[in-house]
Amino acid sequence: MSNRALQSVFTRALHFKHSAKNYPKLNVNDVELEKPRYGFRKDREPLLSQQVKNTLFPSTEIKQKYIANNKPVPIKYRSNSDQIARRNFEKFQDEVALGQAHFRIGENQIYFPQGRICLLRPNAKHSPYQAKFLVPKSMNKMDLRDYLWHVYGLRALNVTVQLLHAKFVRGPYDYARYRGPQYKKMTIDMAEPFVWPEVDAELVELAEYQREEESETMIQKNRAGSDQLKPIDTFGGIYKTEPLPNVFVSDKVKKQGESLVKNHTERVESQADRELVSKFLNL
Amino acid sequence: MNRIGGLLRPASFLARPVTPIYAFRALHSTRIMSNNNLFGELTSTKKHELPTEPATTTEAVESTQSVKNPDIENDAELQKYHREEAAKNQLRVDKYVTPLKRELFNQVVKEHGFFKNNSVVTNSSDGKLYQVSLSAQEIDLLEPSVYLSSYRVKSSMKKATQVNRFVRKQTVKNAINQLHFSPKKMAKELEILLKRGLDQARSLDLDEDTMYIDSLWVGSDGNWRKRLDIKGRARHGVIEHPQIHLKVILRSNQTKLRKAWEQQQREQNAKPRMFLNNEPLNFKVRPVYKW
Repeated sequence: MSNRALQSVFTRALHFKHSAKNYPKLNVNDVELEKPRYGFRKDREPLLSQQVKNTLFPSTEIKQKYIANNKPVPIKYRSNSDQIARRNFEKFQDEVALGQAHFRIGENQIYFPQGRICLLRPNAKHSPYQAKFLVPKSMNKMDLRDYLWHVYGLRALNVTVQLLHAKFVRGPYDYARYRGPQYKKMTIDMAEPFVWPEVDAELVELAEYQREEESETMIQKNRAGSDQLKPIDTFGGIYKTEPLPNVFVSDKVKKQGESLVKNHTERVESQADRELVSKFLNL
Repeated sequence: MNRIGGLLRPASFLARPVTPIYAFRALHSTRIMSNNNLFGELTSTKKHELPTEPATTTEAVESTQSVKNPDIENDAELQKYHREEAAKNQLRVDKYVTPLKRELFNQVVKEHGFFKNNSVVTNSSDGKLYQVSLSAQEIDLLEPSVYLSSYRVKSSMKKATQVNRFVRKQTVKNAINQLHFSPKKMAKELEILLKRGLDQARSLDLDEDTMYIDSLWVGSDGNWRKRLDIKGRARHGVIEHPQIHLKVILRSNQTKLRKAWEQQQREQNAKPRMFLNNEPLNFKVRPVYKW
């Protein structure tokens, strides 16, 4: 056993004590605490399949390369999916060129679609080649693709679905919170870009103003107790009715007086009719 | 290859007519819409001309400004609506007293400077003589007055009552003067209310210098917030945050004069006070001693 190996055994012994003599002879600057974790593996040769580049359907070419190099063709390059893909691609191009639908059209004929389909404004993650729609939950990708094609002549090249949960809402009568129904959004890829037009800044400002004033109006209309008497001063004061001075009338007097005045006015108003009737009857 | 073949197919294959431009749009999705319309031949779209750019912008600016700063003063229809609404909600004498009574009351006031009950007047409209006797409630209603109520105040009835007692029956101007220098919170609230009352009196052509506080009272405004007051020994209380309102009736000098006159009449018509009561003796009177 070498000296070093012996030392390692001894240092692990129960009663071993370190002394300055036994300390490893090392320079601090030589110690590399965090060694790089690359460069120690074996570098392999690049795969044959990696040589084929800038081809839409590389499978056939890769297969031939393997055969030429006298190597077994990997399983994923053995099938003829490449040919199928090429055929589909060419079919798609034909359909596009002919202005035909690029998919199998659904057989259900709907003349008055009921579902609400809203084009939404894009998020930051979307490119101009994508469009997002709010769709009914019952709708699937194929439905939307069909719909967009038949109503707007828009080709949805790819459709992805986002089924989202609704926000929590709180009712006025309890401390619980509830979720509304889920809602579904679909994002399509398009061949042509579409950018939403900028909303007029003035229009936005106006909408914000209206929203603020309306919420303020609601607050003012629902004020408690005697604050109901305060005039509403929103929207530059269009709701402001200046109250006229009142006299004090007790409820009892009000009730009596109202009926008296009502009887009086009725009598006065019917006077002309009475006179006419009495004249007609020669009373 | 296949693609070119597709392009060279005879026109009978095509669902829709293909324009030459279309052939270059290899991947473009939009169909050429017949009749320049989404719905094909079913409907035709009218070509409506868009207004020129500057016109639309000025219009937008104008509309925004009109929404933000509506010209309320010159909106005759709106003003009319507000006037009608205010008149509908107003408590007026003519809603509760018949015209003849009002006319006679005014006639008496014109004659004497204030209302003397049971006085006889000639009605100027029909020339007849009337003795006008009204109930106390009717007189209260017919005499000029201003009834006001404050908005919601965060205070209590007890605190408000102290201030109310201080100014009751004072003239409004004097009360405002006094309240202005009172350190109490309710004094400020009441002062605001009385100033509002003075404005209304002025609008009714009443003499604001002689208006006085006829009645002034406080009421709970309801919907008090309640809090739990946690105490020791497993006990608790309820902390309430009282909200109140003030109500006031201001009356003119006419009422003061009438009341003084009534007092004077009462004193004048009072029977002379008899300290010996002129009643039959409440015991048997015999001409003889019984003992």
